[in-house]
Parts: sequence; C-alpha cells; structure tokens
Amino acid sequence: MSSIEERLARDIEAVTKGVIVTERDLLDARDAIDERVATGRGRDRRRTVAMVAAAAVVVAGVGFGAIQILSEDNATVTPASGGEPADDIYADFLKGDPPTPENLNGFWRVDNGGTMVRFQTNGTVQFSDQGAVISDPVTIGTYTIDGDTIAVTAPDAPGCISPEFTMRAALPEPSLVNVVLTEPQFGTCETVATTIALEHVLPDNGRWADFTSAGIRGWRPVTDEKVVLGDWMAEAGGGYLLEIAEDGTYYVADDSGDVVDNGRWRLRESRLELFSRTESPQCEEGDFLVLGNLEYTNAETTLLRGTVDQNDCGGGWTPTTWLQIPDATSD
Amino acid sequence: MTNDVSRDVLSAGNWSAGPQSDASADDTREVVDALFRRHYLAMLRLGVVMVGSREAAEDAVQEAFAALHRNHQALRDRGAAEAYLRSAMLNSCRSWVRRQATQRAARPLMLVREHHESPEDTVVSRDEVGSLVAVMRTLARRQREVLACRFVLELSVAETAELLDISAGSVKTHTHRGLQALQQRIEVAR
Repeated sequence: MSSIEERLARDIEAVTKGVIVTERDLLDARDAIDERVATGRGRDRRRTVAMVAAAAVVVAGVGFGAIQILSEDNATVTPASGGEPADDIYADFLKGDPPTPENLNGFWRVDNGGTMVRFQTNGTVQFSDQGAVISDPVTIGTYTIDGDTIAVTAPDAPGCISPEFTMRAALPEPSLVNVVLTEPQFGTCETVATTIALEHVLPDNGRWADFTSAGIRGWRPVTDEKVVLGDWMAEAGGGYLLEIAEDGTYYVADDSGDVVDNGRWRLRESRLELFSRTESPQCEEGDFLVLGNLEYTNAETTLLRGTVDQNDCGGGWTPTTWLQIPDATSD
Repeated sequence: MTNDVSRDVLSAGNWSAGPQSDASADDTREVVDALFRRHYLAMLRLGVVMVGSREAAEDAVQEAFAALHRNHQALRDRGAAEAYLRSAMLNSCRSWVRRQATQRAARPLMLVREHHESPEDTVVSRDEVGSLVAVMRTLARRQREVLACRFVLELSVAETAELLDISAGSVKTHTHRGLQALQQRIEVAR
C-alpha cells in the first residue's frame, strides 16, 4: 500500500470513528425514515436543519479540517473550522474594481495553470484546460454580473462541472482578476482552490511586456504535429493569441478579444502553414502565413519560434516567438 | 428516487408499482429493519465521508433507507437489497452535493478558504483529522466514489465495479488517478 493510500485509510478511519450513533439517534432516524415512506417525500424536519448547518459548514472539500466530530450525547454538528458568515473573509482578496463585461472581455489564463477562460461582452463565457478555448471549449455558458458576483449558467457542462455556479470577482489591476469560486468542482474538477487569480492574456495590458525568449536554450526543430497544438501567446506582449487545434483548424485573436483570422493549418518539414478560410474576419481565403524553420523548446517553458517566410494577409500576428499557455493535461 | 445504478438493481427483480399487501408490507418492514440495524452506522459514516456534514449524511441515509423501503418488493434477494442500499446512499450523497451547488449558485458565498489562515494554522489543519478526506471530496465524482467504496465500505475491486456499474479496469484507473490527485493536492497545499 502506498503512502497516500495509508494516509487516506488512516484519515477515513479517524473520521468515521468520530461518528457515533446512540440509541436515540437510531430511533430518530427510524422515525424519520417511516415519515419519509409515509409521505412519499424525501424531505423531513431535519432537512431544514441540514441546510442551515450546511450553509455555515465547509463541505464538499473546500478547505481543510471541515469534518464534524460528534460526541456520544450530542447530536449537533460542531465544525472544526469556519462557521462564521464568510462575507468578510475574502474582503482583502476581493479589493479592486468590480467585474464588468468590458473589463472581463478577452482571454484569461488561470495563474500558473493550464485553464483558459474567455469572456465576451455579449455575455458568453468559455473554458478550456485543453488548449482549445476557441475551437473546442470544455464549457460554453452565459454569465451575468451582479455587483461583484458573476453567475455562470452552462447547462451542457460536461462531467463534474456544475451547470450553474457563481464566482465573486474583483480586479486589483486591469490585467488581473481575483476570483472566489463557489463550486470547488469547477473546470477540470481537479481544483481544490477556492480562490484563483486570472491573468489577462488578451488584452495583455502590458503584463507580458518583459517576457522575451532571450537566453532560453534547448531549441529543436518541430517535426511532430503534437508540439504545435494548443494556445500560444505572442511574446513580449505582442497582443495576439494563436490557437492551433487538433482538428486541423487554427484561430488568431487580438487585443479586442475577437478572432481576427482563422483557417486550416499543416506542418511540413518544420514549416507551419496557416491557410485562411472564407470566414476569416480580416484575411482572404487562401492567404498563407508560413513560419519556416520552426523550432521549439521546453527547457524552461514551452516556446515556439520560426521565421516568417510568407504573410499574404499582412496581419500583425507574426511575432518571432510564441509562449505556450500550459496544458494541464500534459503535466 | 431511482437512478442509473439502482435502476439496474431494480431491473433484476420483478418490479411492482402497485400497493403492497399487508403481508408484503410486514415483510418489507422486517427486511428494512434488519438492514437498518446492520448498516445504518456504516451508511452514516459513508455519508459523513462523502458530504462532510453529520446532518446531511443523516439526511442521505434516511433517504436511502426510505428508497429501499419503497422499492424493496422489486428486489430479488437480500444481497440485492444491500447493493440497492449502497447505490441509493451514493446517489443521495451525489444529490446532496448537487443541491448544495445549486443553492450556492443562488446565494452569496458562505465558504471558508484556507488562504487567510496563518502558516501556523495551515500546519495544524494539514494534519487535522479529516483533512485528507476533505480533499478527497473535491475529486472528480467517479474518483471519490471509487475511493469511498474501496476505503470506507472496504469493497473489493469487483464489488466496487458491480456497485458503480463500471468495469474493474475503470475501478483501478479511478483509484489510481484519485490517489494521484490526492497526492498532488496535498503537495500543492504544502
């Protein structure tokens, strides 16, 4: 048995040993079951108590030490921590400008994480931890803002993502939004944090101006298509996001948060060819952007660079180097 | 309240939606009583691990037993009744978590976050009873249910697979990934 298994087994044992049932508890429970059967309904008098208690108790794994220990003669819950209304708990974290559709607009990445979030002023929000926030987001929903609270509705959210959840948010600076999640099983369902920081990728607001690839080593020619998949941010605050999707499509978004070019891509002998389609907002069908001598390095962070061999559209999204927004699934 | 898993159990028997006779009602009560005496504490402990609240766990257990009471006549034998009870319990916990998510969505936050704790507090809470269980509750649904089956109910891989209606391979995969995620999260927390 591994260490983590042993620890989990010990912790479960400690928790469950703290759950003691008295004769009184059993009688009450049996009565409650009879009542449910008789009424045919799932609710009983304890439901109200449970809901009230639940509102003040950390449940579903938010925070540590939230287990209740029941004494033999006491049928009430005693949370190990918490219990205070949490209105003020996040006050420091949530200092700053309240969220608005305008200041949320664009692409955000979870600080030090692989999840990307895209807010649009039309009220839509998209999430992806697969490097596909434009082409194939894990979740597409709508959002509304009331004060500092962003309510998201995503009825088709897959897996463990809640179809409805809220976030409180504030922007301590234009390129940063601090978020308090109300639903811990959010996004990939792998997040334990209740608070996260989102960094603006687009518009970059100068946040990435100092980021350059100078001095980074370990460059190798790109020969495997998998290397180029995902979301890439232009270096040094270049103001563009390039998404290269597994299905052969690509998208370029600019500081407005909108897609400015899209089409198909292919990789040929370390040449990345981007071929605009008719629906490309700013380019003509058939326009090529070709990056030759394509190289990448993942020595420190994952970077992609090439020489601009062809740029029919003349778009500005031709930085020397792109920074990959990490894909959590590749960890 | 039925669900995918319990529906499977029900389908194995002869489902009858009609009113029970006095004799069958007595039989139901007797069986449910026996199962209640034998499994109430275990189900309650499972509930506490799964939802983190004694009251909510009691609520879930009561609902599971009530569901068993309502559907007992459709079950083929006592073994099926126990399986039904376990799956009903897991479903009750799942529903509770879902309800909580919905309620949280409709009201201001009332949750506590560790980021305001002092380093000393964090050290204490890290080793506090239930801290790892609390992290377990944040895992993906299948992972936490598989871990609960294995470590709380102490079911085998095969029994877990049958209860959750997944393959044995999936049980192993979810167990491995769940433990791996736990390990990663406690490392991050440190």
